[in-house]
Amino acid sequence: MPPANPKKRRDQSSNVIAETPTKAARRNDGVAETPHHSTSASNKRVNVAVIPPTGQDRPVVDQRAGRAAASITPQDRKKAATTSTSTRQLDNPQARRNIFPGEEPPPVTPSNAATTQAGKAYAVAKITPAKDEGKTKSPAKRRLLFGREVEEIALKENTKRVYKLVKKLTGSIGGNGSCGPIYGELTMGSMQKMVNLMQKYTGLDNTSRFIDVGSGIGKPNLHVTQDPAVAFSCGIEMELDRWRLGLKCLQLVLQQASKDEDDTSIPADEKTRHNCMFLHGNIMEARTFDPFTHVYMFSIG
Amino acid sequence: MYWDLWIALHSWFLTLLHGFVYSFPPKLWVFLSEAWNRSRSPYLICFHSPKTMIDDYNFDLELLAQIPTSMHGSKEGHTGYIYQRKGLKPNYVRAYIERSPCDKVFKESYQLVQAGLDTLREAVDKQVEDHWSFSRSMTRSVAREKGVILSKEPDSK
Repeated sequence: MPPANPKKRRDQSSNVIAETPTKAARRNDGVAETPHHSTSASNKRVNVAVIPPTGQDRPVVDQRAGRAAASITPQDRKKAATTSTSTRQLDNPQARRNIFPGEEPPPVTPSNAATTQAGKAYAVAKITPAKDEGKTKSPAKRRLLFGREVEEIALKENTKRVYKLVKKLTGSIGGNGSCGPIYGELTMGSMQKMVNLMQKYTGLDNTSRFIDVGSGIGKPNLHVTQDPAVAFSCGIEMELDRWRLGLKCLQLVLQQASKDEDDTSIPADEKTRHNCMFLHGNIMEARTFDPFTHVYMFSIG
Repeated sequence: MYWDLWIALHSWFLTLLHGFVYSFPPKLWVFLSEAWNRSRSPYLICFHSPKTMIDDYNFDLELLAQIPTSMHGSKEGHTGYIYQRKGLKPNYVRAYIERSPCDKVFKESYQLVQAGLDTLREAVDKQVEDHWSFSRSMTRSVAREKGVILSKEPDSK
């Protein structure tokens, strides 16, 4: 048997190519096949003919494939819409965008959100819902160095007043106790967090009795004396300098408490409290921790 | 460097020994543990984990809650732990507040605070007067007699 003539084969294929696109479209329900793909079902390549919107019968050329797409009549469109999934997608505007990625707006990223049109819309859409839903940004939030927001801890006025007195007397940190300016102490906010936790889990209130073992200059004691105004707050410190500084701070607080008692302009729950005392001694002299309900020890630093 | 501290303390070539004391000394921890187990106080708040408190020092405790905290100045972070006495019953705290014994070390201070603001203020003013207004410098023995310097070991008095 003589070998197949390649020229003849080209001629055959050219005959198929010569077939009118309309016919091809009708045969494949709006999908025109390329001739060499039509022979193999597995390698079938689909050339999508875009159906123009209703009222426009002008054929549309698929630019990607570089071939003339079929011209489609309204009857074809009806038929295609009922049978073919790919052509059903064409009537969907979203699907059309997927077919033409060139016309699609660029994806919005945080970096181009402010510059592109879509980005502006995206940015507005991202911001406005929270406003519309009434989720207003809480005023009690604080932005940290790298943009993270943390909830600000609410402190009572009398607590702030007492810390201000202590700071005025001893400076912001440690009060130069025991030959050095710094020793371990919590920030005002962290101490308030601890107090809140104690209130939540242990019922720390105005009937509680609180002791700080190694009280230093006594900030935790003064704190719980103000909030939640415990019945008795006691600090025991064996380092003389720190105890003396604590005593001096307590003296100022008691003076302030005397002033606040007479001042009618200050609300009752914001007046400076006084149920606090500092002891100079070694905890090892005590046998037990009675009568204290809360034994606190800042055992580090 | 892996070295024995005893050798370091007895070496003539060391002029300065730097120690970073991170916590109470172990002796104090042992005392605190014993005192806690003797007393009837319901809650303990400290900055050591349950492993140290319960496993190492045998405190009679169970963990209630913990929270991250930060220190002043360095912003060094530490976790604060809230413990309660093991097997604490719901009405225990109220009963304890109403009828609790008082250790002799804290008795005087407690009575002062209960006496009211004026009494407390007088007492504090007097203590400040005693400890802040020195007419002349004190020798160590005089200071110890007046109680300004404490002997660190109560047994050695």
